[in-house]
Amino acid sequence: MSLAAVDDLAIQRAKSGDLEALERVYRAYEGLVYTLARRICRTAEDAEDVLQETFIEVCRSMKQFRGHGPGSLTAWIKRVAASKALMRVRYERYRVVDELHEDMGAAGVTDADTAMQLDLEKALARLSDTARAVVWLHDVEGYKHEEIAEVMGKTVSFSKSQLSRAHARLRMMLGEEA
Amino acid sequence: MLRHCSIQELLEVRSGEGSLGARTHVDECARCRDELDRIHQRVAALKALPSLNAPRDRWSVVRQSIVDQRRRIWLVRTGGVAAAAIALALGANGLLSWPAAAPEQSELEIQQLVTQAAQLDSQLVAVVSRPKVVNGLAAIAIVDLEDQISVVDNRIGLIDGRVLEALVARENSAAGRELDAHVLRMIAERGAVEQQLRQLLQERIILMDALVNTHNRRVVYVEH
Repeated sequence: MSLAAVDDLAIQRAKSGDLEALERVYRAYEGLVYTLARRICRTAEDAEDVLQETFIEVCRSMKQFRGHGPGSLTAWIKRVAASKALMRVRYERYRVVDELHEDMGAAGVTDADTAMQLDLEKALARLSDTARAVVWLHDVEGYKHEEIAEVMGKTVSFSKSQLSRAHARLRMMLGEEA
Repeated sequence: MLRHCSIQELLEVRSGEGSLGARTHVDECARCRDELDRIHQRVAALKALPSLNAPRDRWSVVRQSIVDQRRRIWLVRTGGVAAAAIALALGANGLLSWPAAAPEQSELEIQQLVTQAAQLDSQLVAVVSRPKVVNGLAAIAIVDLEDQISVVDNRIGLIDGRVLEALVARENSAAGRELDAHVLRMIAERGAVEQQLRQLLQERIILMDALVNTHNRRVVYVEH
């Protein structure tokens, strides 16, 4: 189901607690939330938990949602998801993994673009949890350093240094060294 | 600048926050310009990574969590505290100085409905704890009824929210602040609020009765 399926009427119905409308919101946004969570969390299981926690929070807090229109709903849901993912990154005791994850390396490579994507995914997965979260939130989701610092409970300079470290690591892992 | 830019400086140039020295250097230095281009390409590649799909559907867990939460709120209410709050806020003891229109009768009726609903809750707890076999049709009927009850509980919760607002407003009023227009309107609409609550309670009783019967039919089938 696409985001277009959630119009103003569906949002109003979801705000009133209508389960059918809430499911429509879930169906429309589950891919977006899971992708964000999967890019930030280290494992698929953690990302699934973040997906679940995000929508429990969204459904419970929907009536307090003050935004107007699907655009602000998207921004709100992404913010809830990012916050849940970062909480997991912060509090989970991840084992130190330097090898690649099985689910990322085994797929068949069909063309150069796919190969490049797989390389990038592998490189992203090998970053530290914090650096990966910062590079994804800043470069893909469009967060500002001030916002990242706020949701991570860190300073702006911490966010900036993590971003620059992430790019240095990605450059090295992708063989882009000059 | 006499040296090449660091990645952090290039990232700042990219986001339009770079120093004048760094920007000038990038304009003049092919190596730093190439490095900046690579950053642009890397970010574009990150943005182009495909969307991912969750391997398992989590909606049923989310949905159950909502239903359970609404049910917990309802059970607390029928436990006495909130039932009393509803009755009080709806006019008993003159808490909000509602326009007097047989408040005792209204309060009594609402309390009777709450009691009846609480009895059905107890019956449901008893019946679901017995041995059970779920066939497809019964499972669909149970989920459907639970969904409908959950929606009714939510609507009762919204009324409860308005009542709580009114209680807070009353405290403010007692503290010398003026009641706002929303609360004044609510007081003026007392009859409608009571009517809405009665209807929702009645609706909940009918649905709960159907749910208990559905569970009972299942249990009878198993026990024979």
